[in-house]
Amino acid sequence: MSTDRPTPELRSPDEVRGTGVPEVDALLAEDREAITLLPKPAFDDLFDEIEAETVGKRPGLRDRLRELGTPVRIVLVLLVMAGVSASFLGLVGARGDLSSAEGLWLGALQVLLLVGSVSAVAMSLRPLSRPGLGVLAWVGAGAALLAPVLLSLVPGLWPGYTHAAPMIGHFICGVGGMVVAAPVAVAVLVLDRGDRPSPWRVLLAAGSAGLLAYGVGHWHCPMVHPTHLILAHASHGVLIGGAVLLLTRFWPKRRRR
Amino acid sequence: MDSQAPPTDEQLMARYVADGDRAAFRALFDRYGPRLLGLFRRSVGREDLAQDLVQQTFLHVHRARKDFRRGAKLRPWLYAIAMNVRREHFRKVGRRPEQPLDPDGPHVPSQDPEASTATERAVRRALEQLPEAQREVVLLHYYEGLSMAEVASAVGASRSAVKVRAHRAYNTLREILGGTDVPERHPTGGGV
Repeated sequence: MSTDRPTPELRSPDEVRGTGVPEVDALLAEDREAITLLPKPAFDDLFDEIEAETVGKRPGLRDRLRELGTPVRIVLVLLVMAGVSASFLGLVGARGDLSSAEGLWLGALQVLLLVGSVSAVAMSLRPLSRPGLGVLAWVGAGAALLAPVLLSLVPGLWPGYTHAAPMIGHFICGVGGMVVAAPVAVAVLVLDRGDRPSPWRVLLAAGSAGLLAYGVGHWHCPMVHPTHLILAHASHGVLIGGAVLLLTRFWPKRRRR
Repeated sequence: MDSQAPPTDEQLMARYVADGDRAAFRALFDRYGPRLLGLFRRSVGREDLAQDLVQQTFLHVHRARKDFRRGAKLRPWLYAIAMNVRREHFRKVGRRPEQPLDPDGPHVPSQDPEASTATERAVRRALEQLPEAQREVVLLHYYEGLSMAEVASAVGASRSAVKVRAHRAYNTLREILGGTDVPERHPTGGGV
């Protein structure tokens, strides 16, 4: 065991109290001071490995993106969300069956969806330098993923045609929603700083993408039968979340040299 | 001002963030690498895993460096990353933080089984019995020497909540270790 490196300073003595029982404090102190220092070559090797992946590495596009500040990363995702939504509605057109009152109601519901979606993005991109999330945040994350499904089951909430849609209608809306949701989920995951996104970050990314697709779907499709809403409008977040979680099981692990 | 005084953590971080200064990054690693290694060794009990977690912590420091606010303190920022890396590790492996109960067993720290004394084993068993929120506070406050304010910042709790956790943790440790009979207290001790 090498002791050729100086023992690092361990504490601010004015703040450290211990248990107040001398014998027990002596045990704790002995354990605290018992630092097995890495031999210098091994310590240098560890730094070399870190350097090779940080300051010693020529950053690629993904490195540059995820090394951006967190506010910038969030704004980038919001731009993707706005761009995808506007492009989709510009391409396929907005529905024309709404009265002005229905339009206002739909708009109000959309604001709630948008708040949920943006919150999920912000939580997913939350840097590790911030403390862990509390229970409320986890409840919010679950709600973000499930909100479209639950909102689809509320009778009379959404203005539109209530008769059952044909199978082709489910398919078209399903594909259209995926066109909106997938780029958003990809953007969030590309901007994630981990080597493998943790499951909760994946679920939040999928939830935000699913909420956006659900909202945009309502501006285009007038069919509001619960089956259609669940199958074709509300399933994107769940599908994306499930698919990415499955993929991450096969994601290559970062290997140490 | 003494021109020979070593740069502060924050000065090193500023140089590293602004210019990608490798020497500053290395200096930060020299200051905090051994401490983080000790923290992770106490948490996971395996040398290779502990080094991996140190590596992950510094990778995140690098990727998150533009989030470091000018005027902020480095230590709570760095330890918040380390504790999150630690939490994510335990979440991935699907178990609560723990030490191998038998340091001479199959999960032995790879480098030196003799390094573990009876005292260390007794203390770590005691730490293992603390709730995670209390154990985090003891690790950061007692072992890493962070102030209560820094611990509060690192774990995302109020200072008073952290003090209560510390108080309860030390009481529990007193109860557990107060009755501990540790026969050998020399560095190469092998017996309990």
